[in-house]
Amino acid sequence: MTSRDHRWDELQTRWAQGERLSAEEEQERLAYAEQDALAGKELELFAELRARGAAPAEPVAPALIGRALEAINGSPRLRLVTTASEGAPEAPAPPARRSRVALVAVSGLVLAAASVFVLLVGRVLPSRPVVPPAEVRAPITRSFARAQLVLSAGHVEVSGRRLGVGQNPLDEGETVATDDGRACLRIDPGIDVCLAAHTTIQLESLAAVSIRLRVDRGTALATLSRRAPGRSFSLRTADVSALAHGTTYAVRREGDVTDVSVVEGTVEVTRDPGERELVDAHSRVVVRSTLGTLVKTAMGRGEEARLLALGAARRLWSGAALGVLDLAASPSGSLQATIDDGEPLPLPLQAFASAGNHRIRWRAAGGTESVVWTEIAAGETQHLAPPIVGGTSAGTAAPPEKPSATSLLELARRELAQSRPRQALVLYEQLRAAYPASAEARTVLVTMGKLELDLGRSQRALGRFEAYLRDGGALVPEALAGKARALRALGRGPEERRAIEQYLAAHPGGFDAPLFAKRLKELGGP
Amino acid sequence: MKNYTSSDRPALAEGIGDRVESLVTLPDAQADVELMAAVAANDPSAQRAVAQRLAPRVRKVAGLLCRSAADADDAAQAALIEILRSAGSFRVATSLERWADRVTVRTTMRTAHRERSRRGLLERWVPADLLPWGGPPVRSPLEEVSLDSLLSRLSYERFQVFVLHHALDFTVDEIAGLTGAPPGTVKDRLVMARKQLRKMLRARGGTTDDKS
Repeated sequence: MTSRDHRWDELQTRWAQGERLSAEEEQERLAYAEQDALAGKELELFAELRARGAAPAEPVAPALIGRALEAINGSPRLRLVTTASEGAPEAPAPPARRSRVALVAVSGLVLAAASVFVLLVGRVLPSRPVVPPAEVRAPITRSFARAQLVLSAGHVEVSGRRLGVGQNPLDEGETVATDDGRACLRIDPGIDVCLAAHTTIQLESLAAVSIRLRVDRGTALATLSRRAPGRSFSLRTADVSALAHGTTYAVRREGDVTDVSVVEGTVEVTRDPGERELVDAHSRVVVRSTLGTLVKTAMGRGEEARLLALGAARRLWSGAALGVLDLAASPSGSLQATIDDGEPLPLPLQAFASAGNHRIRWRAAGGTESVVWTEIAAGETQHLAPPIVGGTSAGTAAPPEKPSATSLLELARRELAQSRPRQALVLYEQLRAAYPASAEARTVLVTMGKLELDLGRSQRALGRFEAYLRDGGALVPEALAGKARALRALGRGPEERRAIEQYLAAHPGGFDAPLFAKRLKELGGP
Repeated sequence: MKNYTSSDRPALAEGIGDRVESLVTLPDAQADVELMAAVAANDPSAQRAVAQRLAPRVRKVAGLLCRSAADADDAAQAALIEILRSAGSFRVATSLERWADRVTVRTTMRTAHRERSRRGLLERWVPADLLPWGGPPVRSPLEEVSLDSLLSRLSYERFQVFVLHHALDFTVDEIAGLTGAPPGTVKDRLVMARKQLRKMLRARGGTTDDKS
């Protein structure tokens, strides 16, 4: 290569990696390509790629749009977006047919006259801001806050039906009721409302300027970031409203008593006749529907801790990349689950959780526990079956929790289909622990070995293959091949050689035989 | 209720024009924010308008980033759903088209990654002749040099950054943000892809002085 070739190569490399060349350099680069066929061809290919990116987009099949819209609107729903058109008169009926010529002539005259008038007025009068008359101003659009169920644990109903986490947003007027369960809602922007057991709330207003939730019974804890000016959030009961602009507080409604407890910030509590009280952090006010004044008292640390625990799950969905964790119910209903050492929650449980690894701890009534790590991918749902929480001590009442071997295999297969080998391995482990004498418990050893190899855990993989080979079976060729690969990964050449020889002797026509014969030559030796 | 149509706002010029747009506030950008707010509020006419307006562009971007038309269709559908679902996060700082491009790129890469993992697993377990996509293609070193033959020979990581930069006009920093790879790695992939292109051209031209 000449120095000129080198120079061009340098310029082209810099250009290709996104560096901005000076005008002279760019000219030099293009000039060289005009004289060198190879360089010219290279630039042609780059130009072709660029042209593909700049080409106008072609129409797509309507089915593509239809399917996307269908996926978005899982259930038909309507929501009023524009309020200004409410009550507007219907469009007037079309005018009766007239002579077209007459219509055009009259319109032209009117337009010409109007133009002359505007021109004259514009010259004579000083300019001033143009304010359109009220009737032609753009309608003010009422914007809604998005409210969505982000945690549902145990029995939770939305407007009388079961609704999963990650499904459609909630509508104004809908109710959320927790029987013995727990639930959290996320209302954009920055409002989390968590409900204790035996709580019913109604989404009274989701208008962005004034979000109101009515607590019909039970306890609702709200944590919200500071509201923008002109925007408010309040938790209400039948006769009391607790308005906040950025704080953590709870409203509890039992019978005719409303208890407003403030953990952080300040909350404005009002009662229907107009009685108003500002409640500061670590304080509470109890209001009875019957007569009586609003009385503030200090709130104990224990009570405060209990309230904060209600919203502790918030950290699960605090990240930007979220997936859904779906823990199935246990057949006996006796298990509870904690996520990342949070509060124990009833099953079934669904929650938004940040992408990454999470620790799930299942706890039986008798105190025995089972812990697994699970990985949640952004935008995906991670399903987990209840584990086998066995080994309870005598006298404890923890019932056996055993999904069938087939269901565990099916779950593991689903995880594999989603490219999640670690989760599949956990399920295979569960299967082997629950059904140690079953045929499946042995068969999955080979699968587990291959997965361990994929994950780079060669020693574990070797253990799995050897465990299978101890008793033999239909998968001996696969197990032997896996053993040889694991030994190779571990750098144990002589043993790898023996494993390959054993494979070739027993299965000379096996799937891996050609590769192993080649490998045997590489290994050399006697 | 306002009825939105896909022609509520004229289609924007594609390519480098959008890059300029992202630096200024467009006169009709506010209309897009309102349109997307309506989408976030589940207004069906707004959803349809946005889907119709963006679908061709989404399919084009997905098509450039996928190696097969079937994968591109899947990725385009997933991206369109993601765009509609993320409508609430659309801000005025960028054009709707460019914002949609980013969502499409992320979704397409995620879809492609999942598909490659699935294929990888299948390839481990199923003999090559039984794979739905068959075995690896047999290529002659003297086959015609074309853009498609070059792209098909690049590893997916190189292919991705090569297309993002040279076809879709994303900067190195933008690609780093989209792919999660450090900018240095992105540059390295661009350089290596270019070297591969150069090598192919030399091989076809019979030149043997390839030192790259």
